Amino acid sequence: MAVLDLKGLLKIFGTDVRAVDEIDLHIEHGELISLLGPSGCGKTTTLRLVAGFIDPNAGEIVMDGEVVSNANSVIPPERRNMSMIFQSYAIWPHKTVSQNVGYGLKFRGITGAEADKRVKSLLSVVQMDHLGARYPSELSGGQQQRVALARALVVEPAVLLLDEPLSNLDANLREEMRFEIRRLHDEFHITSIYVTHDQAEAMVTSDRICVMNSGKIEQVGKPSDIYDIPATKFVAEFVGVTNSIRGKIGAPGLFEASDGAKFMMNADGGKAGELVSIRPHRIQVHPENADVGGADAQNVIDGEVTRGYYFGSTVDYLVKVPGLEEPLRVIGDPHQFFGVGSKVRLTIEKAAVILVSDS
Amino acid sequence: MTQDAQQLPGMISGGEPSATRKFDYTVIVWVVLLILLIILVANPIFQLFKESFFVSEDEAGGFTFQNYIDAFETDEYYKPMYITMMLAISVGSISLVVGAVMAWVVSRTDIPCPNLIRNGILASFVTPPFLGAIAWIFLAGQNEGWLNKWIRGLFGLSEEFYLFDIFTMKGVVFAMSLYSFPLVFIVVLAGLNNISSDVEDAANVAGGGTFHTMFSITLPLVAPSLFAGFILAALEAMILFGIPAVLSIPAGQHTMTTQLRAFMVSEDDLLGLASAYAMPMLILAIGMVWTRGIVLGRRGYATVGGKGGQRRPQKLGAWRIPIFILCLIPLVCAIVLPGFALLTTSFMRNLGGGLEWSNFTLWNYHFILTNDAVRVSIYNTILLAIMAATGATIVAAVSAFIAQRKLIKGHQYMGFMATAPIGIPGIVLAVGLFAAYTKQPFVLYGTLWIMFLAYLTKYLPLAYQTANAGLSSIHPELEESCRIMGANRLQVFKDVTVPLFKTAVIASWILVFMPSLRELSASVLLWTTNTKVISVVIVDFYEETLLGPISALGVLLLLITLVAIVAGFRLVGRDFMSSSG
Amino acid sequence: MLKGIIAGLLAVALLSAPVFAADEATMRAAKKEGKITWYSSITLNIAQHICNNFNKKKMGVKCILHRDGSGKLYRRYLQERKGGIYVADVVHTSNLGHFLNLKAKKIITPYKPAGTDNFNPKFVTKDNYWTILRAGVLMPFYNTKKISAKDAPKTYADFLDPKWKGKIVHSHPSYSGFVTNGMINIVNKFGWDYYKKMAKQKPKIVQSAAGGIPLVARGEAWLGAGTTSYSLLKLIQKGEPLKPIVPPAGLALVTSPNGVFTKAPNPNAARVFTDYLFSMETMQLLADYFLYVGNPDVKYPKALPPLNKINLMAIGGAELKKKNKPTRKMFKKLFGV
Repeated sequence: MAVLDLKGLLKIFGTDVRAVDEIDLHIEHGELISLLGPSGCGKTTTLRLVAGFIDPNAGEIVMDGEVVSNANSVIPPERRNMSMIFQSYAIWPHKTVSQNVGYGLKFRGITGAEADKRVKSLLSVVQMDHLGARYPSELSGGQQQRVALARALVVEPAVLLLDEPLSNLDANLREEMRFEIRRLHDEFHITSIYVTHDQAEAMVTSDRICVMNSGKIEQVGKPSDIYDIPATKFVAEFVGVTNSIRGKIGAPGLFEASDGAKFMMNADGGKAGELVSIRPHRIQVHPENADVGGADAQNVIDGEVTRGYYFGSTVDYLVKVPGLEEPLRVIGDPHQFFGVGSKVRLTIEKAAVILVSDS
Repeated sequence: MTQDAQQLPGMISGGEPSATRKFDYTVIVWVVLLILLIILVANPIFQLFKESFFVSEDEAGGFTFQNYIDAFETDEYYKPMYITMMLAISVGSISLVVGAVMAWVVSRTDIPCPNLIRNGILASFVTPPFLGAIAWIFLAGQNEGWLNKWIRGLFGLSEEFYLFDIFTMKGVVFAMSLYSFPLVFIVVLAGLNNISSDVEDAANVAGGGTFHTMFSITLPLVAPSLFAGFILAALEAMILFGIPAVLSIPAGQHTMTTQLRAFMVSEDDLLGLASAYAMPMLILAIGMVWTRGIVLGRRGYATVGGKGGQRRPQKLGAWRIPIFILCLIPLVCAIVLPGFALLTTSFMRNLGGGLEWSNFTLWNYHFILTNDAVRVSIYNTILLAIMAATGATIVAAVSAFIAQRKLIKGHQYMGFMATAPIGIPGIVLAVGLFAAYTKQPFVLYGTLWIMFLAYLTKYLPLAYQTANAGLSSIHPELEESCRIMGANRLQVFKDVTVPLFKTAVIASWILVFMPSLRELSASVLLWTTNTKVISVVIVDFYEETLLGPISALGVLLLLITLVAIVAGFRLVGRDFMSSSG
Repeated sequence: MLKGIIAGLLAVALLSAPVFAADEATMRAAKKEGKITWYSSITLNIAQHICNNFNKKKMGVKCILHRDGSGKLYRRYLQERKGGIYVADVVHTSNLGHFLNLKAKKIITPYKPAGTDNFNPKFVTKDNYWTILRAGVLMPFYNTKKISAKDAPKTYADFLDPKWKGKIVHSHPSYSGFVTNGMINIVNKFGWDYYKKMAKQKPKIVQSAAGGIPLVARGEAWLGAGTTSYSLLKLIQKGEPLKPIVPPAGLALVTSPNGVFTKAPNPNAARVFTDYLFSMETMQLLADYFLYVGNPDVKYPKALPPLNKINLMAIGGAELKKKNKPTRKMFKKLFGV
């Protein structure tokens, strides 16, 4: 277990591609943090910097108080006591499952019966104990992934790095393995960094999520915070779907959209901003002229449905409202379906209107 | 999406994170490689270039263009260039037709025994061309060639009549084509295997017959391969030394390679003239290789084995047997007849005598096995082939590894450097090595090392391409995962890279070993008393017209090659004979 | 005849004890050096035979043979010298002109081989820079199966008969000092016109002087324009269907010197070996191979015409040196290679 500190970490590829742009990140003992972002956001580069595969141009990586990387010196990966799970599993095809899992032990001075014992125990943790003598080519994708997990965990690393570990699996298996990774983390409590572009994966597995974009950190927080209180337009739009509305704060607690609509919100300590985010499922849909109660406690807006897709568990509407150029996206209850052209009344809690920075 | 992993040289590995820091040995590895490539390629070519501007005879002579003027103005030196170009075009064209048709037949039709044809072509590919040429003297000498005698006997013709005369430029073209068409075959076969047979099926459905489909659909589709095959065969004809040395000198005609050697062994010091004379060959050869590269795209190599199994073969119908027999003719000419001629000649007491028991002798074998020069040459040949194969494979494997894993700054130049010698004709390379390493401070002349350098340089591209192809099938994460588990780079190399890489490495080793056994065009300029190799002894004996011992030595060389091939098949499997040409 | 030779060889074998003398000190030093490298242009099997015999003596000195044409040996030595490589100890070629050059540049050093005092004066030199190891004549010849004695050419001019077109084999002067020498003699007699006409006969070109013999023996060519007499006679002895031609105009005599390099890496072994070359044993061996040698005591095979019975053409070293390069150039011009 270890505490990791990334301080002002900078990595430039070529002459001017700032793949990781002076980021700061603190990772606690036993924490699983996800680096979430679109391709090219710098999350994998960050992971590889932490692993020691790449050396930074500036800044440093501190592990339990020791600098493991800075611009001048980089402790090579093999000396960091980390493990990594790769996108391609990277199971060595010429070694059996047991040999794969046991490989790292010899570098930690564990050999013979003790090594066998640990390999067996880890294989049983990932439910692969019966397949120890198999070669990787004889395994399914999910089984290979389990071998990779066992191999990474058997050495009891201080830090576990996961690089899009599930992206090569099919959908069902991916879902199963998410829970498996979380289960293993709960069992071993290894400080972990999990790189993914899949928000659901990040939500399920992580203690905290670090959303990255263009080499910078957009927001770090608990999954619920990231979702409910996105700090930036990017986070709001990348993590889930949202309605981003441009405008300005008129008076405390009142946001005036550029096209005229006004939204009440919780007065936010005088924070300035030109953009609010409203999650579609935080908007309730009611029949036309429905009595929705106190109009000063919530926003009440009338509009017209321009699109309604039935999804079984939800209905995905677009509702045209006065004072907004773009229709609002609304997730509604399927038990009360409104067809295209229906007049509806929308209510939005003040707390659902989140002021975000425009980055 | 992962970012391209980049790593810089001079990574630090400290015993303690913040304590003493020392350089990773990777730095040393790449410095060594760079120096090696400078020694192998850059310096010889530079020296060649330099020498071409100096008159070597009087050592006081300064900078001059005289060598170029001599080389290109004099008729007798200009003519070999013209002859060589004509040879290249003729051999290229003949090889193209024979090779392409045979590739089509093997890949696409219901010809009987396609594997027989395929293996036969591979066998002609590994037969030393100079041996083939010598054997064809026995077969198609104007007066005494067995084929001429046979035809005379058959039709009761006079002594004066002859059908074949190998000592003519036509004979040279014939012999060269026999050993060049496999190059076309290999490239075109690979091209054909990359094309779905659906397109042919579509043509059949539309009403096109087998041959119409071949000419109007299949061959145009493999046009890049055809072009590349032509270039390869023409290039081979241009840079070949053995066949012209055996056949065209008696015919009173130098080619560029034999003229180049004549300069080098002349009792006058003509190194400058030789260097100037080598320039057009060098430029032309490199140009041809580049053109081929552009036409073929990035896929610079092709595999003979291929996976053409699941195709619907075109029906040859009544033509099936006649075409099969036609396909056997080049193989009979390239291997069966020469092999027979060499084998029988090697047991003949009097070359003028016939195939009779009274003419049987083991003297030729006794001669070669008791001759000091031959014994030394057998030892040298095998030693050099092992050294070259091992050296080239190591250098190729390491540089391919560095290039693919982007281990160091400038890694993108690794591949270029390792394959840089690809266009350099062996004999030109030898002139360069000669110019570079016969004078202080680097005197390698007279040692096996200079020949080792020549072989290494000549076959490094082949080894590199084989190794690179093998390595590219190993995902970098396999190594990184090993690294993060606690292995340093050398351990990673040992535990993961090498085992995964082994097949490609063995293939590359054998692919260098085999041609090294018969290397002639560079050796013939670099050998000294103690560094003779079998091919040189054969040419040497040929110049003394010791045809019996040559045959015995040829049989011996073929046997060693055969052993190497069998070992290759055993260790790697049939597909190991990939070629980069 | 064969019996005679065997008897001769046996006699030599019996005599094989100290047939040549080197003083004790030289011998000891030679043993220390352990080997001697001989650059020699004499036909491979003879050169090898000499080396093998020398090695059989087990004197602690090994003979390493490097056999090549005269011109190539000369170039090789100079090239090696330029690179500061000295491997050769003793040199023997058929180009006296080269030896003049070597002497002028002091690349060879005087050494008088033991036992040459009573030699034919034509085979020894006053300054001892070299001694003639062997002499032979350049001999035209033909295949007796293809051409009858009646039809065979009798003179040099007969070779120019159009009926022999494409049937002649000619050796290359750039490779063979023997051939260069012979050509200069013939040009002296008949002018370059002779070779202009010869070129029109489209002869097959082989490199070494002896290279034409097997071609004619196999019937691939019918006539040889000129080869080393010793190779020819030896093969005739072996039963090949060949016969020499002795034109009335004469045969070119080629004397082949042997010398010791100044910078021989094994100077003592070089002297021991040179002594061996001129010992009775080797002299008789060469004679048995149909070569003329300086030692008056050797017994020649009956088939070898005594030197004084042949009409000889000969040129001196200075002339050879002067005409060597122009001859080779002219040949290339006329014959294309």
